[in-house]
Amino acid sequence: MGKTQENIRKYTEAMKHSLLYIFALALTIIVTACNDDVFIEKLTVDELHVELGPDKLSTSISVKGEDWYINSLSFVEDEDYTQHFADDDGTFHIHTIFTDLYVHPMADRIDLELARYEGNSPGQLSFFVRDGYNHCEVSVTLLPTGSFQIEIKEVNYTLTSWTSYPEDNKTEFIMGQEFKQGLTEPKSLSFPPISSLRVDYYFEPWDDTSEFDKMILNSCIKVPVPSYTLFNDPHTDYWGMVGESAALTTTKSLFFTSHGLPRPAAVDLPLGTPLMVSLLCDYEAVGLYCVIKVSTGDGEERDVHCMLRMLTPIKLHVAINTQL
Amino acid sequence: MRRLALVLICSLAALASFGADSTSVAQRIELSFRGAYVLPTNQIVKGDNRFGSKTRSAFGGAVEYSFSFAPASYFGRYYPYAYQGVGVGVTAFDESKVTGTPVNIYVLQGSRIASFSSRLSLDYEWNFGISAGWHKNSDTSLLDYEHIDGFGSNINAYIDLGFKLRYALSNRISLTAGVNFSHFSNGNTDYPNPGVNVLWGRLGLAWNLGSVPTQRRHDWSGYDPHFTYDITAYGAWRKNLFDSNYGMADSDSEMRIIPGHFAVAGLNVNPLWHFNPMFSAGASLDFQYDEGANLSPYYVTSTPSDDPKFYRQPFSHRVMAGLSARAELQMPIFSVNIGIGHSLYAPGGGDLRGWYQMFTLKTFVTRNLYLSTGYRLVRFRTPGNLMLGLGWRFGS
Repeated sequence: MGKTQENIRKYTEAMKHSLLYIFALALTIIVTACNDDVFIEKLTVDELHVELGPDKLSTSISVKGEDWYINSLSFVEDEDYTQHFADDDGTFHIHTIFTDLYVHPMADRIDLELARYEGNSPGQLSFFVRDGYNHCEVSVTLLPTGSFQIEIKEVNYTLTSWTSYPEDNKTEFIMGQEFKQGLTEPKSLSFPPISSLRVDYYFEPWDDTSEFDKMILNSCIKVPVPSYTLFNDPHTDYWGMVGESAALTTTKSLFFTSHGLPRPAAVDLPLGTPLMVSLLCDYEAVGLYCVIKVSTGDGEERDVHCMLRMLTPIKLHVAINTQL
Repeated sequence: MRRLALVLICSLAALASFGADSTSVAQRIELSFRGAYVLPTNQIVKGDNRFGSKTRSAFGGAVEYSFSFAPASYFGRYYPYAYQGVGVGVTAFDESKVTGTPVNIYVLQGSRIASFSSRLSLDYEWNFGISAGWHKNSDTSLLDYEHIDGFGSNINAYIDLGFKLRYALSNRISLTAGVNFSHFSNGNTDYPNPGVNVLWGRLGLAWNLGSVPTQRRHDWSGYDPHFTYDITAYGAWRKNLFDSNYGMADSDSEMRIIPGHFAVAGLNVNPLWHFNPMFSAGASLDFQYDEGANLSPYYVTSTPSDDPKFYRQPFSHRVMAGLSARAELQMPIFSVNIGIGHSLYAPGGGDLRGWYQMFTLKTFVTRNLYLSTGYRLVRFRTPGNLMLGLGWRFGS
């Protein structure tokens, strides 16, 4: 029994010294039992709406959360909606005709830098900050930092082909002379020269969804327009650029062409009956394809494709009416 | 529960060390056979499980080794009938598809309550240990009794209190008979943890080895009642539930299991007045931190309820402070401390608020240092958490 107890004593002495270490280890295990996997940091954005403009070109939005990200940006400028995705470095760069804006997602904030915004109405940028569980929508209002600069660099028409709209063709009365008592002696009548004739026109955007194109085509900037030239020489083209111009517009408008049509030859009038002699003009509805090269405030040149719709005079002629 | 086993091993080592310090110990081996009624205190044993099987009875057997300190020793003088030791037993339930057939390994301690004659006495005995071999539930996400096919853990804590009549057939052989109450639980370290309660009847035969114990009285002369101050720091890991319909006015609450385990830590400052070497009482200031407390309001509703995520609740929602009344039965090596308390500060919500109960076994490694193994219950019926820690007794 004594030897056995001595062995037990040695064993338990060792165990006594080990106990504290074992318990320290056990407590360490317990303390490290924290269930971190089920916890996520709450996503919070300190400002859900900010405004950038001439008085404030940059700002930062603080973000608290874990593994948050921005998938894409939605941007509306002058009724034009675009979606933007991050560059390779994670930065969003909105570079449009009116806008130059940088959005930099950082570790704990989003930096916004507005270089330029020249829309006619405030731009609206919106995006979602997400963390895979929740999201916060942030909206940014952009106020114009300056007026939008447009310069028409070049206007090119396709003159060798055009579209006709015969249902819109018409003949218009220009002037007339009435002989209610009839003529008693032979008479030859010649109308005076016509200095200018009215042309109805408007520009029709090729892409009617492009707000930029609409804006350019409504800028009222005068641009060269083609004139009907066939009457000059039967061997020339129908249309030629002879120096006439009209303001850019998408609503029906008019200009007067001074590139006169050939005056009809004098006509011999019949005797002894009341009559009305009229000078009439035939108008033809046509459409000519056009490309307008535009330079804007961002330094880039863009093409605006459109159709010039015209109701243009093509022929003057005389009509005698004896059925008065 | 493996960590609980580690604590148990430490306790056994401490027990053996004290035994080794004495020079003339009385040793005993006891065999017992038990028949039991499984109390219908939870849904699983009542038949709400995948198999629809009801667990009503159990049978068991155990072999125990214990020793008493020599009469001349410090402990022998104060606690002449106290015995302590280790035991191994098996519990066979009548329907084992859900329960399994667990094996219990435990430390034990007992003493005499009354002597009726020179041969017949009444003893009490408690057991504390692990119970391994329970069927583990295969569906770990939903508390749906229709799919439950086991319990939360393969290994549970085993707590037993018994009273037995001891009749000495001779100096070395005694016959024992009595009743025991056993509780099996994993301390909420995994779900489901309904707690299994068993009422036993037992018959046993004990052999005295070594010195034959003699009848004697305790000697408390020279003992002065006094104060001690126990400071216990503990930790544990636990499972938590959450209500996936929290805050939805039109929906009933739906409790779901949160994956993983949460850390629990606590501190008790417990002054005790020692009336005599066996009994002391006092009050305790209790602090507890529960990483997973009051999480329902912080459920991220965009995450699936079977793989939920939560926002971290404020620190004040994870902590509580309370005051409890404590009573302690002190015996050689071990002290059993029972407390009933109420929260004083628990701003986070119901999980940490209200009444709580604490059952703690202190295993003294030295005169002042003890290992603390305990269990905390909330509102007298809701499982709380284990409390595994270290304590220091000032003023002993």
